[in-house]
Amino acid sequence: MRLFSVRAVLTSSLLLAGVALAGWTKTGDGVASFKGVGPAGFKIEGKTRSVDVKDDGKTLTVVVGLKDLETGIDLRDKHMRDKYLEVEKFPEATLAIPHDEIKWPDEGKSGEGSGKGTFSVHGKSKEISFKYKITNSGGTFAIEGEAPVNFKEHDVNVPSYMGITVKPDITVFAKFNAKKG
Amino acid sequence: MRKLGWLLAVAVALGGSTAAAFPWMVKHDYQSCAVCHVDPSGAGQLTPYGRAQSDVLLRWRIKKPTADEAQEPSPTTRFLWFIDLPEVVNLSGNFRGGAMIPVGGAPRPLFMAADLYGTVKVDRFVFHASSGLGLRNVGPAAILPQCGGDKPCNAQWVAREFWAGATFADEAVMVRAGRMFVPFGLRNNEHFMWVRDTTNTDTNLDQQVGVSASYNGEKLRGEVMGLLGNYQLGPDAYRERGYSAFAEYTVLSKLYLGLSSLIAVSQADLLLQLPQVRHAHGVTMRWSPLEPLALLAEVDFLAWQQPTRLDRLGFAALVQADFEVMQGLHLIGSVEGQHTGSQERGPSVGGWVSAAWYVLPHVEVRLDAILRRTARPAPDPATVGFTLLGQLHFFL
Repeated sequence: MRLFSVRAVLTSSLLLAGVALAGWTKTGDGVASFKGVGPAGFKIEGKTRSVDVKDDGKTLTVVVGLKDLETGIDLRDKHMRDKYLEVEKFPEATLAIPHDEIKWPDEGKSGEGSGKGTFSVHGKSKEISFKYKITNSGGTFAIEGEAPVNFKEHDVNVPSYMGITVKPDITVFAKFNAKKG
Repeated sequence: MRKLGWLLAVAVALGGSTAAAFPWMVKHDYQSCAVCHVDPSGAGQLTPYGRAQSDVLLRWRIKKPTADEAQEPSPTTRFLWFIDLPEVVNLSGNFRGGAMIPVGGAPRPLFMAADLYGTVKVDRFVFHASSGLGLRNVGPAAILPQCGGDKPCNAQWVAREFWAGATFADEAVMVRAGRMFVPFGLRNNEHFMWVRDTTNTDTNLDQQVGVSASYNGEKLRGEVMGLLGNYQLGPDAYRERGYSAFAEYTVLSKLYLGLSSLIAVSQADLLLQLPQVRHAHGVTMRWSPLEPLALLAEVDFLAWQQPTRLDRLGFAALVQADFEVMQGLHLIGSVEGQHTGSQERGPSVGGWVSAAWYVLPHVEVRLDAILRRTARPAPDPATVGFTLLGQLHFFL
């Protein structure tokens, strides 16, 4: 009886732990990007497919790897990675979102909304507002969102090159699929 | 005879190609030309950023460097390859020469351009001028001496552009007055292609005096210019007054569609000496479906109205594919057509196969093979000509 009780307690604990860990995970490919503008119609877009999702049961965190960020011009990629984002020291950007900031649509439905989360890049974190759109297809949730970010608030030097200076206010985007369980 | 002089001048200038303008930079998602060029709608003198990009993106490299291997622009991108200028001053030059080899004819050396550019930018104010030397009747871009027709001359002082402007709204808006490129259509490098020639909007010879306002935004760019005439052309009856405008919108990433419109009135056209209202209205497209490929297209409706004659209606069209075989080596195929409404039996059609090789910093070698069937007013038959054009271009 005593043995049974110990087993039962262990089993229950593992099950409970399993439920707690069985949060949101990314499925399939994802993409994250940023868009900045400068003088005289200048624009810059950086993109990476290094997107992941982590969930600790309370907070959903979108993790973007910056080491593979591409802007369409190799030298500019190098500048962005080494000079501005310093990706060797700060390899990721993250957006941590409390679960209750997102409304998940029912099966076969889509929903849009906005919320607040903590955006971290270059070793600095700041609360930001974001907008999202989610579509639930058979339990797989297609998620896309965007948020305004200011480089200066994260101690990132504003990219400037040969007289062209990018404005510190940029927009970051992410698009990926996620599943619960 | 003066009109013959201009015709001769245009014929001589056929071999020329003007300062670089690269609509195929759409490959790198550069919609705005104002980032790389002093002229907010592109062509002509490069900005310091444009000089750097000419080394990073244009110059030939056997192996494209990865991001880790990417090097800063060579110090040779500076003026005259090594001179650092103060920030407010931008000096550069454009020298182009070569040879035209008509099949079945004698090769003809060409001295196409020898221009120096100067720009001073103080705060929001920009002052720009070009000055150069032209050989053998460079036509409406020449200032002195006046010659043409029965007054040929070997050397002329050329001033294609001189204007002053001011920028506003973080350089998105620029207002200018002076002699400048006419905003219309694709600002393509091959300035004597029919879309440029029949619309009188090439960047080599067809600058006009006027006032303009340009806009370069995130998705939209454009320019409107009030044409006051070419004051290097006289008498005043030949000068065209009116407007020219274009706008281009970003439909998708690396896909841009544009509209152009021009109406110009003169008291005498160069050929018939009759008052004329000239129309050109067209659409353009720039699209890069794959990274090494850029597709460019322009179709223009043309009309010439003269009081004692029936209106002439025509068109000019161009489709061009630019394929970058490796960085700095471009293979370009172009198909063009035109009809000037002058009782030709069918349109003129042409095909170009070209190679442009940006072999060294500031140095371009280019070869064009041009096959053209040029329709002529009835009863003359169409002529077919095949020409090779070789060019060496230094942009200091």
